[in-house]
Amino acid sequence: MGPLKQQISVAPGSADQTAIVSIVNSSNTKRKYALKVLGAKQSADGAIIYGSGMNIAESWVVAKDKYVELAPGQAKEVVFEINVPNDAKAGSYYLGLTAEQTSLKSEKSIGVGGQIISVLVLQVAGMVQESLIITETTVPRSIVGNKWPFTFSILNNGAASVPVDVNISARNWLGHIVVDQKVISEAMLLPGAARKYGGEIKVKNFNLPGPYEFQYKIKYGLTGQTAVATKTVWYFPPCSIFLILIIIIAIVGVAKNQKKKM
Amino acid sequence: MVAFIAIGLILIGMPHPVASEMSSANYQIYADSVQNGGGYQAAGSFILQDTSGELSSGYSSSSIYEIRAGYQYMERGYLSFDISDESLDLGTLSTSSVNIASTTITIGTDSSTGYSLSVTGVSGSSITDVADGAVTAGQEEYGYAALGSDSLIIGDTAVATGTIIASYDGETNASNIELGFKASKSASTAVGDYAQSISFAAAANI
Repeated sequence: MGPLKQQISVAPGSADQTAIVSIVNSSNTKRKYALKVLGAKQSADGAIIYGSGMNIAESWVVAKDKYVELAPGQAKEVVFEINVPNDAKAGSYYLGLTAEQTSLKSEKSIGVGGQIISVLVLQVAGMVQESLIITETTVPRSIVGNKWPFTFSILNNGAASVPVDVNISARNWLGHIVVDQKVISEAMLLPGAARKYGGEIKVKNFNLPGPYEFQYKIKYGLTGQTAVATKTVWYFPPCSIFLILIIIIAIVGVAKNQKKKM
Repeated sequence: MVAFIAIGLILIGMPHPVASEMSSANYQIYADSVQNGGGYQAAGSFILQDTSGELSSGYSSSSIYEIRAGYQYMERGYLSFDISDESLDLGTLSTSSVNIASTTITIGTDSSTGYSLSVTGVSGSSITDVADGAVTAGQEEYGYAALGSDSLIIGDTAVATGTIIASYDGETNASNIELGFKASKSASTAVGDYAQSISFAAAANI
């Protein structure tokens, strides 16, 4: 099947556009394929999931013929008609144009069928606002060591897909930046998608103990907007734990000596 | 006069930015090019399709665009999908063993972003889905394992719509994913016939 992906720009109310997909039957038997349109959405880990009832635009695109029958080795172009309603909101709509082999109902216990998908991105013309929010950030309250774990969740609540770059930085109580690291580069977030990321950043071994401002800076969209969230984390270098233990032992020792004297 | 001839030769030799997709009811040319050299040549089992003189040709991309500039970089892309066995029989279940039936899905694509394979539909009836990562003899469990270098499935998992089974981030001639469906029954499993239809879908990664 081809093309793999196609992008078509349409105006609300438009009914004269079509998407064309080529299908080849590479098997050595005659095959009948059902032509369908699926919606697409992005999962929390970034994978694109296809299915019915996921996207309002599924009903805007219809296969001209419900089925296509191909002889072994035969290729054919099939047409999907695009009818965008007048009240369609401007933005990006992701769809899957599918050819599914029919007659797959199992006579035995499991019938396995295959669908092959050509991705269609419908760009409905109009004013589109890029918008992304940080829905959750987590860091431990206190950290010992030079690997600092983090997680954050973001939501594209705009109507357009947006590329996303994420930088994480940490600043000590003197205002010095001890780490500034790009953790996500050019990830694509589809409209309505919520994604969760996690990992750890590595800081140099010797830093001042105390509170650090942990900052998530997310640059997104073609307009280059920025979303920022901060958290406070208490950092204790491994040597400071050792020092604290020595102090505790010393205090206990002094207290015992004073008891003996009394 | 000599100057006119020289200018004429330069203009003939200059690459012209004239190229586009053309089609009618009976033909389609999805890529053509007007330049100062190259062409189609064939000899024996060799085919040469060369070009010369195109301006700024090449491939460049980011997450928001992909440019295939020039004739040699034009492509429509393809995705192929094959299932070795579309009808599997798990047979009659027993309490002493796990019944297994396998099929292999083969995917090929020239997409630079690779492909993903997912479950897009499940219908019919089955016994209890596996939940502990392994279908075990003597317990009522049903699920599948996916083997292959592109597989994202660990252990035995339940058949569920929306599951991404395999993914690869690049061009592949033939990625094989072996799906092993497994079922076992306990002494209390209700007697009956169970049948399920499962749709798997392959798409190029966005």
